[in-house]
Amino acid sequence: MSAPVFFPVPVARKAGGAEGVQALIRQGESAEGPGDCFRLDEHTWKQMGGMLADERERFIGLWCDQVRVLAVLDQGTDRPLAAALELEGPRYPALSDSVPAAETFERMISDLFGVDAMGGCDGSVLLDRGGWTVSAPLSSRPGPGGGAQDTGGDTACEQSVLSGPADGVSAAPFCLRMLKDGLRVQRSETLRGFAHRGVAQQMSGAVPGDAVRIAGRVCAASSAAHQWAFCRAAEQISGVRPGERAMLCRAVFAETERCLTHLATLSRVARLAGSGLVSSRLAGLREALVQILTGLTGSRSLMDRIVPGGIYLPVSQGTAEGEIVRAVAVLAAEYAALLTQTLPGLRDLWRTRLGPEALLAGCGPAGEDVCHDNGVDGPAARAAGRERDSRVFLPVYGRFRIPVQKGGDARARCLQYFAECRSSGALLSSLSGRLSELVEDAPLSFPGQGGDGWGYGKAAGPAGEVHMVIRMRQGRIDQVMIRNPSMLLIPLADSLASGVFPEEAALIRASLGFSAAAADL
Amino acid sequence: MQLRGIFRALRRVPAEFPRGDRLPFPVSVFHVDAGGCDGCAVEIEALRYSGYAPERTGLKFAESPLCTELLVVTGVCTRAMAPVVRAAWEAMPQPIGIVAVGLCAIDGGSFRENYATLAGLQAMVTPTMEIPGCPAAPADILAGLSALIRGYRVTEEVASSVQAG
Repeated sequence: MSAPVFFPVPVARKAGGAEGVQALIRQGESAEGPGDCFRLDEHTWKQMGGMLADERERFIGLWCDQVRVLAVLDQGTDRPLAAALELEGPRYPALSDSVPAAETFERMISDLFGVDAMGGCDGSVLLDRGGWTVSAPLSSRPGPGGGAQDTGGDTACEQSVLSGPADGVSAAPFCLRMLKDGLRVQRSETLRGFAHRGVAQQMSGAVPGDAVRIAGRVCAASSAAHQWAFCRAAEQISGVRPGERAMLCRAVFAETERCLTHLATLSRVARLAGSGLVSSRLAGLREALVQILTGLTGSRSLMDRIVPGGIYLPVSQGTAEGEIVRAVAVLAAEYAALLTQTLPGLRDLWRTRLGPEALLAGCGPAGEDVCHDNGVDGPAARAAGRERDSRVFLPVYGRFRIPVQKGGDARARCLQYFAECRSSGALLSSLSGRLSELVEDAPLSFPGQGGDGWGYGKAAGPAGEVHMVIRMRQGRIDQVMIRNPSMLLIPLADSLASGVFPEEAALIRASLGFSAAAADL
Repeated sequence: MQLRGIFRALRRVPAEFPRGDRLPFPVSVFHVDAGGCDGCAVEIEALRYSGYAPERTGLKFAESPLCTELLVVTGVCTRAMAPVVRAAWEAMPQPIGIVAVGLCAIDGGSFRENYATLAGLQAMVTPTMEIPGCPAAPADILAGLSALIRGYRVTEEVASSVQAG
């Protein structure tokens, strides 16, 4: 059998930008899908890929629903723009040659659906490490599983250093393979899939109230963000709009989570930078905040707090909703007070201790262009000066200033985490005041979410934007598509590690604040 | 098994693990996150670095399973991590137990068994101790591990949150 020949398709680079892409997609036939969805033929799909190169930041994700591949783009509203390509075989034209952020999704689709991207940048396995009971588990016809286990060790050679997936570090498992050139890292590769739980399949068939429990457990560090994004998608389908009090409570949970996650990241970076004192002080502050959360909500985490239609707090039967709102307001006020009291001192300690500041300056710079090209948003992008944050479009947040830094190196990222903690403290103070003043509007939760159709939701998590696309049939989840920042931060960490010492590579990875659990789904 | 014998000889670990309050040396603990939401792993991290001082109760976290006595597992136990957990256990010279921390590690918690997960350690082994919670609190983890290494003398407070296997 002769090898297939692919003819290059002329692409219209810099010919219309996003509007051009939108106009091109809208030329297609209207189809069932998330937001405004249009069916494209293969030729137009390739053209779309080329045009997307100029507006990479609009790219949200690439997913498969067994019979089609869906490219979802941001068009600046609650409704995304989707392009659907009918699959005529187990292949489709890749987008990653023009949109690097698509590579992760293409490799995921290959592992989960057995559909390959033709001409993709990297066709290697992403999630299937060989232990699955079936191959292509989400396809309509899964194949036999039980292939050889791949823990990354097979390809290790003298020049390569392999660590993980169990190396005593208390974090979600992944394997890190570094090819060294002398003392420096020539190439770094993160082998993923060890934390893959099949989240999409776990949620499939569940009612929204049960599925949101899984969404909240995609990653503990961005649990509230995943819950919120899922609920926005489910509410888009059901048409239910939570009341203002519920939205304010959601914002409190999201900001609480942001502070906890940033402090954990800063503590890890300080520990790796050899400053045990700074690390333990930051971890101590985080623990104090967790104790406040536990005292008021009964749990150390923010799981199961945001539900479709509102919020949930485990309270005794008969507790009035007003008391729940007061508890959330107290939580926000206590966080704001503690952060205001302790953060400046910790920030000074961070600056005056030689360890973190000296080691992090110039380490792993990811400039604005790098973040843009790789589809990275959140604090990593804001540390490079990109003033983007989806919270400003949510009325519940009101007006606030987005802190940004310059440079985009590990030092700037850490300063960004400090700045965002301070900003969250101010937001929490404001949210607490508004919660206290607000008169009762709608119930805190509307049970019985259902409906049929597609929904899309996003939320600003601690590491960046979390996007969810869900499809419901007869009130149950049929399809789930998730994008979270860790999926794109891991490839960025690998690329930034080239040419640095292994110790610096560890600092770069820690400063990006990603989670393998989130990325693996 | 030969490897285990060598390490046993090197560490001069007594054949019977002491069941008294005073331990001859800190008990080394190796933590494996077997693929979960990272919540319990973060709590173990909090236990190690947030002022709980596990060393004071005779626990020392290690970076390798070699020369450790206690295996702590968090996470739902994915099929990709099952051989890693097994390898860590095999590498321990004289393991005194395997502890499942968090609901996921006990029975999968919110995650059911599927193509990628085993839904908890139960599918592989009966854990020596189960410490529930979603996520498990550092204080509960410390109390449970501490009770285990002191010969299952579980206090009433600990018993409320810890189920000895």
